[in-house]
Amino acid sequence: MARCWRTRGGLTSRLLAQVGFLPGDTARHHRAVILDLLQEALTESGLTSQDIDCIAYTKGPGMGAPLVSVAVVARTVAQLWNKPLVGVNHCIGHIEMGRLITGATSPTVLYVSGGNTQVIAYSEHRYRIFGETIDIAVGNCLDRFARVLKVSNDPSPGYNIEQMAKRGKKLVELPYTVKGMDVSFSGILSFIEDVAHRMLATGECTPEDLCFSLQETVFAMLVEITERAMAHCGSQEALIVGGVGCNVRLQEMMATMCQERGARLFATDERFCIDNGAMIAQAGWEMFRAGHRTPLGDSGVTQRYRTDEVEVTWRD
Amino acid sequence: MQAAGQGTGGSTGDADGPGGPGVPGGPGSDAGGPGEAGAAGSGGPQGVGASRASGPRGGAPRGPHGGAASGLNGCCRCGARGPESRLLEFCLTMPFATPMEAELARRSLARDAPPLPVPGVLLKEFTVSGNILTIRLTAADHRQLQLSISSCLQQLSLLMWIMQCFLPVFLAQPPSGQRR
Repeated sequence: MARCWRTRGGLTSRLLAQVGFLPGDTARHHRAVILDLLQEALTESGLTSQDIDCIAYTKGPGMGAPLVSVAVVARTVAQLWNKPLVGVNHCIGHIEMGRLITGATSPTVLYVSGGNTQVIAYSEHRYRIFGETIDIAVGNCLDRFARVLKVSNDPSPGYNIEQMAKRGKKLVELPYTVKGMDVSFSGILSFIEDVAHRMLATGECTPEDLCFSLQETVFAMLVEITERAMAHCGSQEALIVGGVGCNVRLQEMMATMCQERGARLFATDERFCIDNGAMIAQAGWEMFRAGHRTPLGDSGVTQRYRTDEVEVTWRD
Repeated sequence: MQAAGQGTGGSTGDADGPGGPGVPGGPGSDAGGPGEAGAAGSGGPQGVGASRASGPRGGAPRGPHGGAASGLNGCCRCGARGPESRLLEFCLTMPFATPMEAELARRSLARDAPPLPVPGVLLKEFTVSGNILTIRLTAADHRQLQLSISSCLQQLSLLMWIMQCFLPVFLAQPPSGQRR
């Protein structure tokens, strides 16, 4: 079922070209494709509704309209097929998919995406948030800077920034904002938005230099807080999940840190780094086996659903 | 469906008011019972009725203040409760083939967390009576109500699509005790 996916006519590029993913447009897309996708998944897997054990769906966090659209489908299908519902935390979906794909047993997790930036470690039946962004996510920072530079959104602004950064030669000093275990990206974004045009106009640096500098700075911040969490937990494993986790430079910097600590780094490729339904199914499967059920009365979605709100009963 | 503007003085009323189309046998009612739309049971999708789109025919229902009512099954009512609080209401009734389907629809639609705090009041009520699902949206702000109506109708449309896809299979299955 993980192989079934849908885009419509370059939907991703078109949406990001405007002001990023808009909830209404995203919800409209989901509504348009979800039933075809569901039927295709059943057909491709050779299963019928009777073979399904439970219906896992994203309970949150995320944008409200798309969450609601999918939840309506999940509730309806669960009732029609008489199957239990399992509401899954999106962040935990990333973690469980990362653990499954990489084989990491108990890693310190760096979860980085357009909507989330957290350092997470498992302790006593919770995925504890050791550190996080206090304002915008790192992926949001990169995407918005891409708009400043008018970088193409095809295939994604983050990917194009990464490619430009490889050609950067000069490190421009940018605000480095780590506050204890937390990070802040809004200040660095404001700063680089202000200086970018001036520095480019005067020839002080190139767009590639700015991409390089931004990546080096924000990724170093992330490596720092991850290392601090690993030191606190005595962890010998690090796992990167989330869309920004596809970034090879981030993986290199994390690998260097892990090597210096004698730890192992785990990362997945873009099939499982980026948001996908299979990760929700994987986490849902773990939850279902552990006895989690989401009654219809509690099946509402919530845009603000903290990673540590879930009791992780499927782990010791 | 008709939305009342703020200047209507609260008189669009409820389609189920006296003598309205929602009353069986009442003037202007469709044949077949309360809330039934023209498409219901007459070649439309199995088990799914469409909300009524016809206007009132004779004996138009009166609103709470005696003014003309919209007479539509999806209606918007403006009830003035005082100079500072003016609530706008939208009401939709949807007939289904069976009470089970109506209840299934209600359970699918009525479960989402309250919206983030916004100015004014937004209430969503989903009730089932027999095979009729009634959706009532109430807001203090017209824009809020418009957004809520749009969202609600989109979800309802999606729900009906799902039921069209999977309900025939569901109905063909043996009773739950005999499933795998």
